[in-house]
Amino acid sequence: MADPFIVAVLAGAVRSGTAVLYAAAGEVITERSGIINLGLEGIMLVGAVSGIAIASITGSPFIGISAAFVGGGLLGLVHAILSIRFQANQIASGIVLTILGGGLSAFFGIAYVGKQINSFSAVKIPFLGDIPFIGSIFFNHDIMVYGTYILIPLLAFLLYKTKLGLAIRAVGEDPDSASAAGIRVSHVRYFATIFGAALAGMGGAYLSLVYAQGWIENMTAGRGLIAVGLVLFAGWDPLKAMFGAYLFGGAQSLELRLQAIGTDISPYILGMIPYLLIIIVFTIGTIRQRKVNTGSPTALGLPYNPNK
Amino acid sequence: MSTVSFLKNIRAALISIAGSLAAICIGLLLVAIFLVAVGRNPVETYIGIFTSAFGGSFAITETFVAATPIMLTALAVAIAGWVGLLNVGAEGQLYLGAIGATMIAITIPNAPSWQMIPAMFVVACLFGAVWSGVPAILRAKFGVNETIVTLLLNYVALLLVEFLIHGPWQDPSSSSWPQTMAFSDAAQLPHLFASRVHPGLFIGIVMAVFFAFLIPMTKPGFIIRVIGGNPKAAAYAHLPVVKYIIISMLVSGAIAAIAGFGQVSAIEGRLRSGISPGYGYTGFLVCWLARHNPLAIIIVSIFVGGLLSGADSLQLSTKLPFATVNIMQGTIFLTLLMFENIIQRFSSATVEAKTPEANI
Amino acid sequence: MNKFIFLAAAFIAWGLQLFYPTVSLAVEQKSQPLKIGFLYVGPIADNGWNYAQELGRQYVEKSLGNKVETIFAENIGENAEAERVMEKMIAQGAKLIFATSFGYLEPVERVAKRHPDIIFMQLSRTTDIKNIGNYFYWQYEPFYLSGIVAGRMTKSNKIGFVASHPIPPIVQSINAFALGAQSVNPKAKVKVVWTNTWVDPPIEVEAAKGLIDTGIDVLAFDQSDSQSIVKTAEDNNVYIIGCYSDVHQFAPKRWLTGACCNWGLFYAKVAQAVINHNWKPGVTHCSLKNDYVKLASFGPAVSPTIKKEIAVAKNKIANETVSIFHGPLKDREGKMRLAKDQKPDLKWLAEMNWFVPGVEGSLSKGNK
Repeated sequence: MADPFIVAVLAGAVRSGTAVLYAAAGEVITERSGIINLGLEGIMLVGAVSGIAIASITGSPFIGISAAFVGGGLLGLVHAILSIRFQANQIASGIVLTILGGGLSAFFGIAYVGKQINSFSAVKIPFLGDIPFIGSIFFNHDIMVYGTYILIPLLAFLLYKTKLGLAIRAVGEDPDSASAAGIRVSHVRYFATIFGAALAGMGGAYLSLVYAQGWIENMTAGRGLIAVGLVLFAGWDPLKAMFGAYLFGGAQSLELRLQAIGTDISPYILGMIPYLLIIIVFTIGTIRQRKVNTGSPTALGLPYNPNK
Repeated sequence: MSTVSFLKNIRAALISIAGSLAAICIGLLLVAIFLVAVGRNPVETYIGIFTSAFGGSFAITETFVAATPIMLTALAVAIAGWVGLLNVGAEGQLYLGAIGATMIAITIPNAPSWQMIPAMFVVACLFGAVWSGVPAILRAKFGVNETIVTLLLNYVALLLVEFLIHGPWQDPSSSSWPQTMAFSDAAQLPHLFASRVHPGLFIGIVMAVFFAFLIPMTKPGFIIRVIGGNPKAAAYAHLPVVKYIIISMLVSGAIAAIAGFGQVSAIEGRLRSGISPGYGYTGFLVCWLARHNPLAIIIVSIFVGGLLSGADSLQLSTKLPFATVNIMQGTIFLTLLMFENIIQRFSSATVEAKTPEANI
Repeated sequence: MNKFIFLAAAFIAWGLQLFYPTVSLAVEQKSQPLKIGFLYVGPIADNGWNYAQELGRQYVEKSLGNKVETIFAENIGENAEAERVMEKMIAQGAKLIFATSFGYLEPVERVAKRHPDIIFMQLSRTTDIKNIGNYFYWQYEPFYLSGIVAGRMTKSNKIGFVASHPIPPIVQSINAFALGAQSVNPKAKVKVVWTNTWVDPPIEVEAAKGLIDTGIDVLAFDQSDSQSIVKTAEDNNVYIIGCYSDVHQFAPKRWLTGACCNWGLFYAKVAQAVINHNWKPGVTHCSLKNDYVKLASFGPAVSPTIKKEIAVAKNKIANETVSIFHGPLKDREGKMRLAKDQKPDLKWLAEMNWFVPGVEGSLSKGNK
């Protein structure tokens, strides 16, 4: 059963999926509050470069990751101000963030190209890492991969079991009623947008600090947009986002490894399947809306105007 | 149109122009601070960008070349917007147009121009319409969120292009380079004024003017405005909501597809990856900056085309890294978007078409 | 609207000029230096392909001093954008333009036809247009030498190659690399994985890891950037062969050597020819013979014996006493590709789309 090829593909899936998982998990929280952030690409890039910069200055990857959290959050703040305070179209604002984040990261990143940084190396978790098959796939990674094992259930808990989570979902579903119930809609949305972007920043830092161990401009190469797609695929659920991220990582890891053993399939056709699948699932979900909850926040993308 | 409402419109237009100008000035000021910080003279830099975008006939035509796909995709977004839909899929529809045009160009490579160009045009529009038709039908018949479906179809379109140029359509003579074979001369749109300006620009302008007339002054325009303003009320009034939504989206996709047709036929001469560095997304932004007003779309897309093309001088003259281009554009778009809301508070009435409520 | 803005901006700018007396749009030049434009496909800060080009440009400025002036543009796509940027370079007075990527040929041809007085240098592609010079970098030569090192160092006889796009220059490098390895170690196999991208560090890392999982112990690559893949090799205790730029600092233990470019010498020579008005179109071969390509520094693991062996092999290639591709040469399917006594010419090299025996991995990627 424990075919080394399958293990390698799946371990690679977890590794490749982790960066988009951070971003997608953050976006789940943001979108649940009714704000769609299409600017993840720019935010991940800013996170990636702040992570590298601070890690190379301080010598500590932990401080680097924290800096990425802050850097991503700052860009999230810009999106929040635009879409909450100024009620700008959120998609347009996201496109602006992609452009701006790409520019800022590339400009300030030049000084950090080729900088050597201390990174997290893979640490096998005792006992769990020795479980056949599962151990090598999930428990022989670096600390940021393990971070998602805690973060994702925590986010699910936050979303479904806490007062804050209820508030986030409420302002995403029906901001008027939420407001009537005493929830401060703008505050909750600011929090969800900044927090979600901060997580995306960490995803970027995972790419630069841990995965590639170096910075080069535009290194996310479209992964930010893919993370937005994953949120839809995941039906706005953190746990399903984890599954989706690993599926994305797995497709990439499988394709490269199939080549290494001499098989050849088109990665492009393979790549289309998840998106087509989302559309089908989403359509069925919408048609049977009364029976199945698609998870789509009703007020997603709508500016909230209390004076309306 | 009464005199009062006409004056109101003029007032709104003036406020909106003044607001946009103020926003751009603030954006330029912010970038100027950045430029001073990195040791460049902002005045010199701005003159360089302006000259590079509008100084001389070559610069101006290149600005128009860059503006063409943006104008068309922005119009596509606007058309969907008038009936209250958010079409985030102009990028994908653009690529489908490119695929459609390419399909004709490489399957009947020996056809004469008078057959080739119309066939490419029609198939491109058809492909784009299919790409927007799927979300349109899902939306109109089942209420499926069109924002999400159009966005997702962008990924599929890009992958489809990659598949085709790496696979069945790869040019056997181009040394395994991922691109299709070069189009025959008959399949290349003519250029105008000894430049790279192609008829796509005029299609864009004519369409914009046409819609500027259609939306406020005709019966279908009226129906569109009612549907965009309040689809439920439109349904109660027995207006053909489903029909209008589907037709609008089909037209929207077809117009975005013309942008793709222009890029492969007039600019690249073949299909390859990267024919659009995100024109569909820029078009979305432009449509919102122009408040879905077709005439404003013409102006804003030429402005943005000038920014794109003029920014070359940041690298060539000011010797700043490429990244500065994006910092400048991002900052200006940011201030424009911020002012969007402030302006709307001042001018209650928009000029021609109603901007839809964002309704994902 | 925009016209108003720019008119206003220009007016303000004009006003401000009173305070900036140094601003002068027209700079008087005493002796007309040759203005040279460089078109880069990616960011110059990549520690790889574009960085090597940029070093070449800096070398030109340094060695020719005030006889030249250079301008460059990075991140220029191999599409219509390149055409516009080249036109703007020409508008700025560029008389010589280096188009430093494979896919620039079509835009270069269009611009060159419009400007017969401007000289263009196009990488790795040939054309009939009189004002375009072509240069081929026979990087397969240093790759052959690197292959010898790899063949000597491998214990598992499995060598990995993370490759970008399946185009002839890359296929040449892979074949020469394999031939070099097999010249000293007939059992050596080269496993190729295509990333289909010039730069995407995460994919490169995953491709490298995938190869490492199959048991390779030496890794080579041709991606535009180097850092991520070289560090991955170092961290996984796999020997690494570099490409384009010498980045031994990223793998202090595992660095073997690398197939590098030495563009400065070549660019300076072309620029000098243009200045002397004796530039001619035609093909330049950047090879070990003229030092336009070279081997990177050796890492600590490479023994003096191997270094000596490499020096001998290098001299033979540079003096053309031995040809890397020599007949009879069959591809891995057994088809005769180069007959006995047949010399590999430019056309033969430029059409290489097959692998020599001992190279594993597909070449028909997506070609079905």
